[in-house]
Amino acid sequence: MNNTRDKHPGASPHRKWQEAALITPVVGMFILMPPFISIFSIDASLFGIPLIVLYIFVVWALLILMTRFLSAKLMREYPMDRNDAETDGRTGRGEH
Amino acid sequence: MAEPAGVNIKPMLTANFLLFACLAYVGFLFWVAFAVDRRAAKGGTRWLGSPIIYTLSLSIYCTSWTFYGAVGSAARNGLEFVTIYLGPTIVFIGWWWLMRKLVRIGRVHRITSIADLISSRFGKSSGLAVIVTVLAVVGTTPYIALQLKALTTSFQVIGATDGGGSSGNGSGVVVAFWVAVGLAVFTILFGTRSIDANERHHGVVAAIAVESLVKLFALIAVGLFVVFGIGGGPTELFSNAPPDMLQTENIFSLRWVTLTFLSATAIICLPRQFQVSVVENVDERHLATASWLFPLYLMLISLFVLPIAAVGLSQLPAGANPDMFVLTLPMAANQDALALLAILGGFSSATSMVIVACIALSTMVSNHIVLPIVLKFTASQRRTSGELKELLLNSRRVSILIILFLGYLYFRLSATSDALASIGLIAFAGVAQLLPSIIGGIFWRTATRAGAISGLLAGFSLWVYTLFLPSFNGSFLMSADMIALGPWSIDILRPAALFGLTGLDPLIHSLFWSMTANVLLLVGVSLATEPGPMERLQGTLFVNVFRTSPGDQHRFIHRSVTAEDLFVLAQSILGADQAGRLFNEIALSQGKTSGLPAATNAFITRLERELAGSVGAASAHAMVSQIASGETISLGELMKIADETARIMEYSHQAEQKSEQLEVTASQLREANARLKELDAQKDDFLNQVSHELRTPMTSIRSFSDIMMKDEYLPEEQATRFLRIINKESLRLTRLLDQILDLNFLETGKVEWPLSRKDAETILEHAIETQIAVAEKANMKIVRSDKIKNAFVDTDADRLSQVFINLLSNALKYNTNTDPWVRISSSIQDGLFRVKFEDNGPGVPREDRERIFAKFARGRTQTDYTGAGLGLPISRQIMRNLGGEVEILDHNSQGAVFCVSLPVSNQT
Repeated sequence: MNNTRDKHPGASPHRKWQEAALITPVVGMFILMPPFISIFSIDASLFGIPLIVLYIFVVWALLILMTRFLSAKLMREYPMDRNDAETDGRTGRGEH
Repeated sequence: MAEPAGVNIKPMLTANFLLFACLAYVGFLFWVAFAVDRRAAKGGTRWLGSPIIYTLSLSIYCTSWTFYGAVGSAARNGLEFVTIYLGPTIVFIGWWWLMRKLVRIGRVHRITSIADLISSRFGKSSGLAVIVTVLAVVGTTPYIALQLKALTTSFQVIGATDGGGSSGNGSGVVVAFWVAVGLAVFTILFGTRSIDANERHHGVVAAIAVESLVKLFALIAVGLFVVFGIGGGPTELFSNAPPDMLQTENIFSLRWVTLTFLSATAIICLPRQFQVSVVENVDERHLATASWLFPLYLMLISLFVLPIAAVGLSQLPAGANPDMFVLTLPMAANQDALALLAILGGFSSATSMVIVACIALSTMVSNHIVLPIVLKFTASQRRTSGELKELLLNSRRVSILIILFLGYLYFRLSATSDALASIGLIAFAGVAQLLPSIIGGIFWRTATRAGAISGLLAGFSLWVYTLFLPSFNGSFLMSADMIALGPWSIDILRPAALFGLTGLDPLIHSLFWSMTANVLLLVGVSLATEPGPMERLQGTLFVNVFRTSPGDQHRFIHRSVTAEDLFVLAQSILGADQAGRLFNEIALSQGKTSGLPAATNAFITRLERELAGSVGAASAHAMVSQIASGETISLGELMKIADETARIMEYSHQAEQKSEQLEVTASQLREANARLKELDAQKDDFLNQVSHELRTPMTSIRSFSDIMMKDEYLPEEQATRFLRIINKESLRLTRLLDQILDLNFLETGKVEWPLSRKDAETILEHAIETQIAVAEKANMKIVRSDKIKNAFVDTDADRLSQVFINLLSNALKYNTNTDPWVRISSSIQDGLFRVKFEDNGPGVPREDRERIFAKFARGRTQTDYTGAGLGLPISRQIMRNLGGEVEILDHNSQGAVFCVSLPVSNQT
């Protein structure tokens, strides 16, 4: 869907991904904060590792993966840094 | 670095050797920084612009507090240490919302430090810059003390096993002093080596990126060794750990939330974090990579913290300092090479933090405190080339010394507090006071300077009173009595239970009061005061940074100044060469081939921004204002830009709506087009059919008349027969044409028959009567069910009759059964009068049930072509015009069931 919009090179990233990028930290906060996190704070272990430790690191890893996915989506259509060419004489020597 | 040392170090991990290893490591870092700066000067900075380097430089967040202290924290408070890394993780996965905006503002407005950001936002206020600078210096002091403490303790651990080493057993104060001196020299050489007084330090960034790799590598190496070398794998390790180590029952509390919030705040507000994430950023898109790579770094560095703590608790003697487990575990296992790596990792963490923090703070001090004072006293003097630049660099060097000395002082005074983590949290709570002003500043246009100043001052004072001073345990300014009982023993003013708020952790208590006061005052005072023109301008530019072009600023500020004065000013800060280059470039862009550029508003604004990149917005503005006159800020333009923003949003909203509308219209058009095409095909069919139908009678008429004309001697009898055929065919032709006309007439929908209230049963009765003769001839039975009463409908009797006759004659005509019958039944249902015509003929296949109502379509199995195929379409048009319907019903028996329905009249 929405192929027409994706084809414009300078267009701002699709709103859907932007909104997902705003929601992700909120979701992360929710599942890593009490009271939600207390659900996993039980005396159990998986593969010899306490469940709560496993939970925190798995959620952490998932958040990282999600952010990686989203930032790739957002960057695909991200406009070039127009301020550099125009005003940044200082760093203009080699990087851009 | 560690490998050559690791080979032959085994018998001698002495203090001397350690000193040598650290110096060699520092030498290596210098080499890296030097090489990178040389490459940068030549323009070969492509790899430096890599997002990986950017991410690694962000990792100065992990100081020796992480390297040593996280394990200590895990040993004391279980999982709580994770919060320090979850906060930054959440901030970075939400980069699109906050960090991206900060970085964009930093780049557009040439922000040099966090103090510069806040002062620039609130009208380039020097007062605010001073407040933030002082706050940042005070807030960072405990943090630097923390690094001194970690390094000192780690050296002492080595010194203790060394037995009479040169570092002086037990006198941590001496070690810490020399560590502080070493760090100061190191930082001055690193951070102020550059004669280019701009705020980007490629060499330093590369060196701290290397340090970030070293500390990660070291911690993972120690972790792997501990888990698989001496811990016996994860399962055994956790089963050997003290049962209550994780403390899962009570850590998911208010403290968990507070610590996560604090660490999230720290990653935004810590001066050194701001330096690497915003000031040193060379490309906004690097943030996209850092958004997941930096959290990954944090996760990796936290991965082995719990295992190391667990093994340390279960295997080391009870009195061992948990803050040093990272070092003491390899030492206890006689892994000297690994211990050396651990020392270097801790050293890396501490040095990178101290270097960047000192660079950031010294920039603030020189730009926002020293320079304004110098400007004030030398306002009337003409300055020589590069004079201010030298002054700035020197003031930065002195600031670094002072900052490290303050850190050392804090270390001496707070020597009794022994956990690394608690010191770090005090620093976090201090810099957290900057958060309301930053968030308010970049998202809320109404926030004013007065609001920011009052919020900052109140938050800062409460932090000092409730957390910072009590952390000295009575050895600085506040006596132990005062901390315990409150000043003059006034209970309500007790620093740990202000206004009688008891039962809270001191950190949460302090944060609660300071943040509440901070936010309330920022919001309240902002609402109560009116911003000045400059605040209004900067506020608009900051909040709308994604929608305004930086080149636009000159539209708002008008002032006059001579180009010569500007050149002198630029020279004194940038140096003659750089100033010359800049002025030539601008002159060229103005179309001048020689001489100074014209001092237009655009040029003055651009120059001010260039200067701001060196000395901060407030100082740059003050300096330009000193030589310029008649500065006015055009509020009209400002209103326009606000309007413009609103208008652009409105436009894009409208455009979006329009494109949605267009999409709907387009799909409607596509549908219409498809229908037209279908109709066109039907029309072609129709014409073909009509010509075919007309052709058959015409052909026979023509051929018979031909015969009669040519053959004069045609027998009378035959001629009469031919004439009869011709007559019959012409009648059929006329009927056909009548029907076609009738149908077209009906289809245009313009016919209006006079409707009257009639008994439908009577009309049906008449229709049946007309067909009785035909039926008898065909040997067909017409079965009539009981008549119903009061079947009144509004109709045209002749037309309705025509429909009935048509259906009945169809039933008669097409019935091929040997014992044919047709059954007619009528009823009234749901306000509809319905007549059903059932027969036992061949029926209509399901797929043909709609088609037979199309023009010239007969049933497929039909072989008798006597009808024109217009009966059913005409019947349907008549019924529709009458407000009813004729359709073919689904049924199970043989034959077809046609049903005519018409609304019952509601007249009485």
